[in-house]
Amino acid sequence: MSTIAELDPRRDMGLIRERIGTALSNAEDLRPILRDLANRNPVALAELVIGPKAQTAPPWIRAVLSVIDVLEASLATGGLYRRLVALNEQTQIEVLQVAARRHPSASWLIALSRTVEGKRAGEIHLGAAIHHPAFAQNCWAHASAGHLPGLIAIALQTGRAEPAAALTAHDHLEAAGLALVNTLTHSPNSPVVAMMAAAWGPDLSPVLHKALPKLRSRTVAVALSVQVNGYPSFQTLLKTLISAMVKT
Amino acid sequence: MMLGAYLHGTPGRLPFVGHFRVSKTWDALSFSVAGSIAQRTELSTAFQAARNLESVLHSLNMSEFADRHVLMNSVLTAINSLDLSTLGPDHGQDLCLILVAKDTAGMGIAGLGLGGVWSWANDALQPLVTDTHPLLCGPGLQPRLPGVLTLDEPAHTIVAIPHDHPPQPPRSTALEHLKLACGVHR
Repeated sequence: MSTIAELDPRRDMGLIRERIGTALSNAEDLRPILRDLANRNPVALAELVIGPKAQTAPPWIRAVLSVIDVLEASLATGGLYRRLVALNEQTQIEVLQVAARRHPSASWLIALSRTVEGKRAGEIHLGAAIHHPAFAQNCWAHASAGHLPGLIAIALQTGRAEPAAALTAHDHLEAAGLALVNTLTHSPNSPVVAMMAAAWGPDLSPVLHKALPKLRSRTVAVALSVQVNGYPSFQTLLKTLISAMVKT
Repeated sequence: MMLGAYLHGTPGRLPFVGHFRVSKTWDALSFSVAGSIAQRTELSTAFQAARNLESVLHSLNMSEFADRHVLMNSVLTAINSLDLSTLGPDHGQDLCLILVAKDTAGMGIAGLGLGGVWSWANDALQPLVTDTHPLLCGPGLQPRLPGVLTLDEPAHTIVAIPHDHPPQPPRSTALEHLKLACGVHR
């Protein structure tokens, strides 16, 4: 039973706020209060969470995430997560992780990622959506928003071809070169060159040349060499480079 | 001015699956070919089939051809000389291409699997053929060119859409944008 069980959410909001404040001060578990409110009056719960007098303490926001399903049912999802992110900087990443896990194809996650992750925007969202059908769509959206480091990081973490292809499609060629190397570092057989060509056009040479200065590993260079046999002049150049690289 | 054949990309995130493009010039003789192969198969297969086509077309020795007619037939002969299993699971029966060739006497245009062909002139696309023209035939490799459109006045930029593309002219209003829509960046 929660400490607000005898209170009426429509009449006693002031008292409920007081009890929540006290529970926070005493480091008590807030989840029973939130679950009680969620069951009895989701609108009152929403007012407590996103209203102008909303609590901003990290334990409160973490507890709110335990009733996020109820909140999503009564509020616009994008606005809800934007508000939760704005409440406290310390919990922004946890909020974004929950948002990305629950709504991997949502377009509002692009801007929210920028707010939370800054230069690394896209890493959390794409990391959560790796096995979701919207993964490619999300890569394209982050590339369009200029979230280059996030896409480059995801290429290294997953070996998926989409980040490099998305960067190529949006003419971020330097970043695409690095993402290409990262992809092959993780997964030497990833069809990354084929996907980049499918996204950009048949003559991929300008993008491939951007990858050359980023090659640090002979193994990765050999993996790239296997994929570029349709570009003979680039392959010749790459083979020269490989012959000069130290075997590890 | 360089002769340019361009095949428009298909709608979607990956417009250029299986696209290939080769241009060569020797003396007054030149050709440009753009096309797609194995578009509906797995990405790597389509990519490799396209590179195989480019490879055989790059290997053509231009000095051997007396005029554009010989050249155009030789392009098709070269493609037919490939082991068809290297052109994807349909063995070249999904091949789409636009081929243009020029010599001192004029210019010829041939195609496979095209839905429309335009030239770029005066900052606009000009249609070259109507729906019933033999240039707009079905896709797939054939032993001979199904038809050649001859132009007395050379058009340097020829744009085609594949047969399964929405049958409207490309929307681009600038040549640079049009090239990008055909996967050409320089």
